[in-house]
Amino acid sequence: MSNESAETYLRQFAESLLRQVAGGRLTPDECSSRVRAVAAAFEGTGELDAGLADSVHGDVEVALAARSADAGTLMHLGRRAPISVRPGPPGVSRWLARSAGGPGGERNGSHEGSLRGIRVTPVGAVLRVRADATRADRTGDDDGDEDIYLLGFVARPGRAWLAVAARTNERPARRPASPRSSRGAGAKRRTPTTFAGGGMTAVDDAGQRYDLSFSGGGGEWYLGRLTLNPAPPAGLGRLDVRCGTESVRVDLTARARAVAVTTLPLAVGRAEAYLLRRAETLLTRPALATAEAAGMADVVPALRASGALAGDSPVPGQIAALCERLGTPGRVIAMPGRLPERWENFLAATGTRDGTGSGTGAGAEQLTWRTSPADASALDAARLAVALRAGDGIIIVLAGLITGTDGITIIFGGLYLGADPSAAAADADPAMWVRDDAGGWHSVSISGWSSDGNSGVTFQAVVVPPLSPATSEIEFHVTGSHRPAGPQAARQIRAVIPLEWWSAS
Amino acid sequence: MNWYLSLPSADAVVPCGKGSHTVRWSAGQLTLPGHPDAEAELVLGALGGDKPACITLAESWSRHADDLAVLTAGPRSRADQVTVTRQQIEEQRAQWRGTAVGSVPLRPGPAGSGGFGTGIGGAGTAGAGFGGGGPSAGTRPPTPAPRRMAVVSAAQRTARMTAGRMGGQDFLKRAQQRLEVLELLTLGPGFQFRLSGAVAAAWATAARAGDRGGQRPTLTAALTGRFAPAAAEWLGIDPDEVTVTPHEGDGWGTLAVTGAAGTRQLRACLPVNWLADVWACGFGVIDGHLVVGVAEPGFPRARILALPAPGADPVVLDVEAAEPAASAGSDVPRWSVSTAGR
Repeated sequence: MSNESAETYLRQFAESLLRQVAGGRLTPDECSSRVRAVAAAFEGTGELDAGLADSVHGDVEVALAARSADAGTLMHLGRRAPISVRPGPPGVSRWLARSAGGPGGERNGSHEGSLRGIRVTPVGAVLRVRADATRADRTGDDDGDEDIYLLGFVARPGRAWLAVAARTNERPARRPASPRSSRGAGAKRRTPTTFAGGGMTAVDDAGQRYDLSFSGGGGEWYLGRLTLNPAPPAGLGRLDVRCGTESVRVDLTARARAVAVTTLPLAVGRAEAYLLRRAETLLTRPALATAEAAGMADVVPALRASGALAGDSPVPGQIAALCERLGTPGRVIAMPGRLPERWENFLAATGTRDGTGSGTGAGAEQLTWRTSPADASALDAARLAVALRAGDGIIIVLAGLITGTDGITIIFGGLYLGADPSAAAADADPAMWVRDDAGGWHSVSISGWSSDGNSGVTFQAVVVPPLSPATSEIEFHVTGSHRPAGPQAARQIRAVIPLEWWSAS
Repeated sequence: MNWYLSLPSADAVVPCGKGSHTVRWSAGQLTLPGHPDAEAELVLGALGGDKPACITLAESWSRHADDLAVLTAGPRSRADQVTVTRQQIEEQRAQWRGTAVGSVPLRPGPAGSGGFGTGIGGAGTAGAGFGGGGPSAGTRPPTPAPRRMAVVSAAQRTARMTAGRMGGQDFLKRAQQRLEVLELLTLGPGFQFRLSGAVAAAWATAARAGDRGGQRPTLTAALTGRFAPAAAEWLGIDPDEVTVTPHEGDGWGTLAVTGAAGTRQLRACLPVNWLADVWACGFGVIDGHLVVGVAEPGFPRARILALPAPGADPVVLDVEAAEPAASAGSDVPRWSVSTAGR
């Protein structure tokens, strides 16, 4: 469908809904959200340009405002956020899209070469800082012991960082709960000697000294990255990471174990891929099911009308079945079909059955998870060092994995703009899944992130259900967003990654 | 043939200064009886003096007299109540005052494209004439030149919006324009239909044939959204089963009904000026006839082209406004086939 046809369909659809509003059969909010759902689907499948999708929805908002007795309605005029092709809050990919030169964001400098020069090295080291060794730097009554897990090393031209999980009983000096950067220390202040105090430094094999500044967050455990300042040269052989009087040597010559990468078809065409992506959001956010089912009931016929979705596609039936499983009528979308194996497996593992189960750490309506281990005892960690092209202009880096003894798994990684940053101009985060060596499926959801320069972000992602330390190999599946230009738009990348577990205990 | 000849004049009272003034639409012109020397007041305003609210409103009318946003926001039928109030607009403006919006001042349209000038309304009403679409007896240019949506093709529009993704000033400017449209709609149904007619007439001219191609989706929706209620009244058909596409070329267009009862679909092809000639003047359906064109506009009597039934050829009917005395100065006239025309 051309832009014109899609816009015509959308405007005609809006006219129909506006008639229903005028007849009292639909609320203005329902009208707006339904138009928005179809606009987002057309945008997300490349049937309609983003600007036009926004424009049509904006026109509907104005028409509704003109008929509303609510003075506050006008507050929305022209001020709603641009349409997102995916439900939920904007993710890191939107940040990347802006970094790629999208609206509202400008990039400084160039990202060119950032992919070619990226290098991920597995690390497995623990730096233990004991209170009695750093007593002079203490301010509280806590015992002050710190265990700093160094998980992986990521270097690219001009920047380098270590993935880190640090247990500290000492509260950070300032809120928000993040150990302060050593760069913020005053010149006359005593040199900090703890992780929480920002006392991390490193020295490379050539004697060059680096400050390590933390970015991330956490509670009992601080999860994130330690950025090397200044940026190191390429080809570092080792780093001696220090905190106070303690240090640990990190070998940077270690090679990541071979990873087999394959590209798999995700769906037949962009429309199926788009629908599957939206549906998979529901697996980890089942509370959205009711609203999503309503939107899909409009989106599916719209995509069929556009020709983007075949009439005999099984995907609408799969989504209908998923909605039914989550306790929402899916028949408004299509006759419920059979769930894909991944969804079935995941729902069974998380206990989300018929909308009445209790997911991992969750109630019946909302699957939730912690974003940091709550148990302050030791972690199990796995070396993970992979860089993958997500197929939409984004490079995914995996730099470490931990499983807390209290049953929570976190993957550390980064998302970077690739050689074609324009291809990353999408609103959707990459969809990530892990399949363990027993065949179990695990969702991978970004729970925290921070920018890494002007062309990337680092993230921590929660794996649900958690991975057992007995897992010797995982399949990591990633699907990029679905911009139409990319030939891999409806494909997913599968990387078979051996896991090498290590523990400090 | 001027579409607006089938409409009586319409008045509205708006706050202006410490009091209120009448704004009048007559023969395609917006006039300001309370500001006989509006041009001079505009000059004073440009020199830093206060600009009367009436003048600002008339400028806004002129700027939006070919703005398709009027059709997307405005009424679809007599029953479609556009209820936005001046108070809502003022509250919104108050919210924005002191924010960045203040840095995007309203400006009159470019000289020669907005149709500002000292005008004499078609009915001889003294005052300042402001745009209206189509030839008029006033001294303003007969047709507003394309602006905003008018001057850009769909591709350009897409590129522009995509590039900006409604960031910063563009975002605010667009919000401001939308608020202006809503403010014009607060003048009431009579003005809503007349402004919609002006916009449609502006887009129906031969000079805009090229531009129409770039706005086909909007024009299709505008036609369908207004024709569907009329078709539903005429045939009892589900308005969701009605689709109208713009007709280019000679003739009134085409209309076809397919399917059996309960599954009927109506597909029509109508010229954009159907919106001005027929819909805006309240013709629609008259005594069981679906009006598809106007042979001789006029008020309170006109001659129309109407379909007695699907598949039939159009017939010429003389119609007259119901209770012309009551219609004059009111919203949109109601018509019936005149006794002589039966």
